[in-house]
Amino acid sequence: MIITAAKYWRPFTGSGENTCINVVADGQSMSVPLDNANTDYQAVMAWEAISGNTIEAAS
Amino acid sequence: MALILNGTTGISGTNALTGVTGINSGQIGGRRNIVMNGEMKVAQRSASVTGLGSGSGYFTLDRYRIGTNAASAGRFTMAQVADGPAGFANCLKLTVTTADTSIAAGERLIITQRFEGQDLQQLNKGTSSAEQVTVSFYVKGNAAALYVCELFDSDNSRSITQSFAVTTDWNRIELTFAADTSDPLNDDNGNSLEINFWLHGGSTFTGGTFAVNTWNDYTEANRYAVANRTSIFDATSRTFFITGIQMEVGSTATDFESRSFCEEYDLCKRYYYQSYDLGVAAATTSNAGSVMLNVITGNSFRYNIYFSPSMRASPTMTFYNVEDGTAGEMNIEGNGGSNPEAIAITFNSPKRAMLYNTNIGIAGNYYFHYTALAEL
Repeated sequence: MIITAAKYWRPFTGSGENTCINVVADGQSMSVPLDNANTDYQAVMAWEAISGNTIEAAS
Repeated sequence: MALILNGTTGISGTNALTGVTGINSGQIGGRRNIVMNGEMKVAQRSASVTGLGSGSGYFTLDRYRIGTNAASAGRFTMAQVADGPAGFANCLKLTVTTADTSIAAGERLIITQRFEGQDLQQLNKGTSSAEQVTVSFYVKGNAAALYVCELFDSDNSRSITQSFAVTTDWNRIELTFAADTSDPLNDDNGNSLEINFWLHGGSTFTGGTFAVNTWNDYTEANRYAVANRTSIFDATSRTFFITGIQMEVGSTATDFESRSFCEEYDLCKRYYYQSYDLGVAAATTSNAGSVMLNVITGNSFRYNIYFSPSMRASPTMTFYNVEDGTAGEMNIEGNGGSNPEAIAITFNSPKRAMLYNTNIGIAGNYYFHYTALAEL
């Protein structure tokens, strides 16, 4: 999984907290849930841990 | 009426039935096989994908992951094909399309199925009552070959390996793996154990000493270090066929436990589901099975997708424009894929995903396909 972009997303309703990360990986857009058991979420966290990689804040 | 054997009542204890492989020439009751899709019935993503070898992932048959490490020059096609020994309609076939005889240290090719720890507690692993595990499967190839079957304990980084030979005819391989009294498996929905079929490896995985049927804290260099091993990438003529994979508690390889397509499909949907028809690759331009919703006001929508059965974890979701296959969006009806709108998920869980958009530009009928992925 080669991640090239990641940005948190949050809805206008609910608690106002982030609810997923919109990721571009392997050239494809996908919505990754904030679930530690999700292997894509694990991969995004590992990607972010590498210096220079940042998940953008939600708009 | 009591059944008395050897002077003892019942068939437990010293009278326990062991070594029984079948009843009435068929399988012993159901649910012995821990492997999913062992008969290679379900291939949601695609029946065949070519040019594989540069990366890891799930490509064709459900639950079977291709694992690579360093990039190899070797390339292959992975396919569900109508071939098998008597009683099996399908198998998984790898066909090498580009050979690689200059093997870099970190290269490898493995076919893997991963299991949740909560589905393996009957193995009693890590206790004094730990059970042996028997793995059986049918294989053949274009020529004689020697590969390795490994059980890998992901929770505790332990491994046990045995080699198996392939001929040009279908043969059933039966491998009983030793019990492991060390390190229990987690009782959760994470990846606790893998069956790995090693078909290729560089010196990182072959430079050590091969241990036959002994659990050890894993040493990378030992995993494919068996003497006279084959590299499936040694020639473009190489093929590898496998089906009827079964993993069961105990030391006996019983007859294969056949399950219905519906049962296998439901088991697989815990890990992956797509709105496309079975075997239709994601991003294909297709209306069949797509989701339609009508946005009347032209400014917002909320839409729930329910997962049945519940998925292993909250899934990663990818949405596709029905009319041009672009990922990350839905399209308005009959517009050739233009004027797409983005979709995001929120408040999702293993049971349900809510799709969300608050800034729709044009009112109308919107269509999309989706994939939901919660693989291990």
